[in-house]
Amino acid sequence: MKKLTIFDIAKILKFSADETNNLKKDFENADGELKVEIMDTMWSAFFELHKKLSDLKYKQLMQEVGEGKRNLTTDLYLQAKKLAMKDIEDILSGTPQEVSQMDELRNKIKNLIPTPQNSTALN
Amino acid sequence: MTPSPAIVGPATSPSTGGGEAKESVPPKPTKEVALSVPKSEVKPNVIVTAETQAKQVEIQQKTFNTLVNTITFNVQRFNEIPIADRPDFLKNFVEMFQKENPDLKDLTDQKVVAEKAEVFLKKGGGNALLATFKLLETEAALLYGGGKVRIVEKKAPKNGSKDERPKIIYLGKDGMTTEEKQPGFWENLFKKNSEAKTGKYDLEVSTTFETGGASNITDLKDIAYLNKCGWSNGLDIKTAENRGILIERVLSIAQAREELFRETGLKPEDISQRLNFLDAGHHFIAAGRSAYLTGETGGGYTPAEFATEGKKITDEISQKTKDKLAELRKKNKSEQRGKQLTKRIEQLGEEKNMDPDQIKAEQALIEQQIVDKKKEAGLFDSKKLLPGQKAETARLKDEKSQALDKRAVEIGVPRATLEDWSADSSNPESWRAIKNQHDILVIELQPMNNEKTKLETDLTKWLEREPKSPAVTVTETEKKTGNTVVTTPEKGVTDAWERWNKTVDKIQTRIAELEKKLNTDPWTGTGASGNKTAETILTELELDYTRRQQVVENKDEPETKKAIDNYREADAVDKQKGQDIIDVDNKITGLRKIDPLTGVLETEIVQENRIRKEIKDMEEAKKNVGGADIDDQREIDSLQLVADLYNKQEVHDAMEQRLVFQQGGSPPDLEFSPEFRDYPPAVLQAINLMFGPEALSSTAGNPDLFKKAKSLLESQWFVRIIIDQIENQNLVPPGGKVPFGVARISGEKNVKLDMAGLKARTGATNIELLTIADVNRTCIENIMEEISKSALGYI
Repeated sequence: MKKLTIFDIAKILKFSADETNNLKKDFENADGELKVEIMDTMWSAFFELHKKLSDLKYKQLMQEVGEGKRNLTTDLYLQAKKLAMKDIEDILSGTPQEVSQMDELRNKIKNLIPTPQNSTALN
Repeated sequence: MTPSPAIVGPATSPSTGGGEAKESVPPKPTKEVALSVPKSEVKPNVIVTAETQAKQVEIQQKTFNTLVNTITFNVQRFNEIPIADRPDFLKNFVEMFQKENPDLKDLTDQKVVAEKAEVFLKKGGGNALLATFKLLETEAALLYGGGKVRIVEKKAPKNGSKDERPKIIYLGKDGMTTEEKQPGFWENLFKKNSEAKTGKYDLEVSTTFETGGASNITDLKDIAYLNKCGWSNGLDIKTAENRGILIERVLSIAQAREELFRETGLKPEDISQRLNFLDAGHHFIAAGRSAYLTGETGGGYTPAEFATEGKKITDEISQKTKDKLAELRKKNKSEQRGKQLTKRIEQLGEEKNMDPDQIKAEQALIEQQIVDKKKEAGLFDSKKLLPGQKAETARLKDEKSQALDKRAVEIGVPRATLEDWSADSSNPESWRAIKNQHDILVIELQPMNNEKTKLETDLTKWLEREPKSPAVTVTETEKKTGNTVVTTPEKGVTDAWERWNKTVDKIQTRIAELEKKLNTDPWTGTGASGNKTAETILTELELDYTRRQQVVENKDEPETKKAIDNYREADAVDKQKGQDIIDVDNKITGLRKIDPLTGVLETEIVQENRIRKEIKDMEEAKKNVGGADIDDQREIDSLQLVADLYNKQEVHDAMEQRLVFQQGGSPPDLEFSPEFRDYPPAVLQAINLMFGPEALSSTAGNPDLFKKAKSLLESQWFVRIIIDQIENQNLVPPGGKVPFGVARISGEKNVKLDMAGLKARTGATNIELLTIADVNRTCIENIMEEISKSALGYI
């Protein structure tokens, strides 16, 4: 994984151009203490994002295990973390997430066809 | 589903006074079966030690046990209650429970029911948990209603009396707490959307348990259920045993419920929204979903749902980060402002490094300025005194005039003549002109006078030369003869007499002619005046010039001179006084300046106030030579207050708290000392909000704060900023705004504008009509920012 800067993190967090410019301005004009606070804020956000995406990935992997599509291994969470990091790197490099987009399309088509399962709402 | 208040009875039931309960008789309460947490075991969860960790585990286990027991107890009650009397919630739950456990045939086997209950809770996920919690909730609601359980705010005991009301340990949303923590969960337990209030509370319970009739529990099925649980109508719940069971049961329900809140993050209103025993197929969700419900449908997540969840996570974290950066930005700006203001204060307060001689010289210079300025101030004093003085001089002049009138009468000279003489007194030689007239007339009369004199001399001589012989015919009678003898003068004698008579006549006639010319006929020569004879004119001229000469030279007329001098002096003084009034007015007008705040010529009142204020300022400046001058000191005091808002967290927090109340519609009360009585209330409220009530009170015990607040209000540019910002926030139209004129030029002194001076400007404007509620947070933030910029020289 390449070495990240706080501006990379801003890109990962989908900051707009103005927001990124504001961040640059604030950081350049900041004294030492404020610089530390800004960096701390951005890196905390990055680690929180990575953790939550890792947890989500883990659920996804566990679901795949449940569906029989994946073997249950002892390093499943580690795999989840790596996958989450890859997703983050994709965002950074701007790689389109084609797989999820195609899945989304498939589900939309599927949802247009009513099935008994789709009508079981608990709330 | 209609949330009918059904009861989840306790594993223990209250005592009715009898022995051990049979199946058909409400059971007696037994402590061993009670799955409640005794009060003594509840500890605050603030320190994690092995012991507290163990307690935490124990309590979690007890919560789980409470839920299992609830299920088993309710299944038992379900079995006991006739089918027609079973409450709906109980029926629904048991139906669901059976469907999830299709192999559970015998509901009366408590051991098997308990085992199934454990599996149901562990494997059933969120729905199972929530369904069971609903049982607890309805039980609590019915106990609450039948026992008239109330949360009562604890009152302080009266002096000298002992507070005997029982203390209750409450469980907070975040875990186990003591009684002083938020008791709001009690309200949350039984009501929605209530507001928790910290404080001490007691749990009050009625003396008897009531159902039916006029009580809170009227549903027949609820009553039947409660009866089966042992909570029958009229049950004495004053007894320690029954009351204890009732309270402990409610506590254990609350504790279990709080664990749910804490662990899931659900709010109380979510519970009733999320609970639904009956899905279409009475199925529970499969593994793979979160046990903490998200409203998902049956089955696992799709890839799209995972992607959506990922995006949601990213968006949430992104927004949170942006908010935090914005907060840092604001905080940094605030800190920078604070530093800038501190530096500016230091600059203003720098000592000027003067040696003693320089200080003396500077003070002498200022003293001279003070003297000059006091002269200007003296003009206003004079203006006030002059009319009275003028009246006095006019009176004196009148008095002297009357004295002069009197003197004129005394010496028989017309008053106007005396005034002429008094006018002549300014020209000591003026009498000579009249003497010249006199002399000219004398000269003109001289020939006649000389002739008359000569003729009189001649006449005297001729009269002396009267012929000796009489020129008379004498007729005598001789004595001897008796004869009449007529003796006639000799011709020579008669001739002499004739010549003598003619000469004397001639002389006398001439003298008479001259006398007539001189003393009888109106004079027609030099200085002729009506019918006056020459002699009269001459006499009058002589008298005139003699008197004038005497008056001027003070020879024989000291009284007249004195009267004239006195009058003349009084008249001059009076005239001078009149001129003084004009001069003073002109000087005052000449010293008038353009008011920097209005841009127009100042009024006389404003001018006088300004000059007197300048004198005070100069006197203050004289004392401060070598340090900050009076205007700088005022700016320093004002900026110190504002800088503290940026630099001192506790000062900022205190302001924030006041602003919260202001925004919430409960503005802090406005109280102030008489020194501020004429300021608009909205302006004073701005000070109140920023610096607190002590800033406006001279007796509140913080004289330094009061002095600085006064400085701020008397700083012409800063008080203007306060008023401008309040007006702007309240959309005061231009015609209703305080007319302040041109803006501050960078570096311009913040001279004093006292309360009277400001009142003269604000009197007829809308700032006077605004109230303390019209000062909002934005006003205050803008005031702080604009004052800072003004001090730092920014536009």
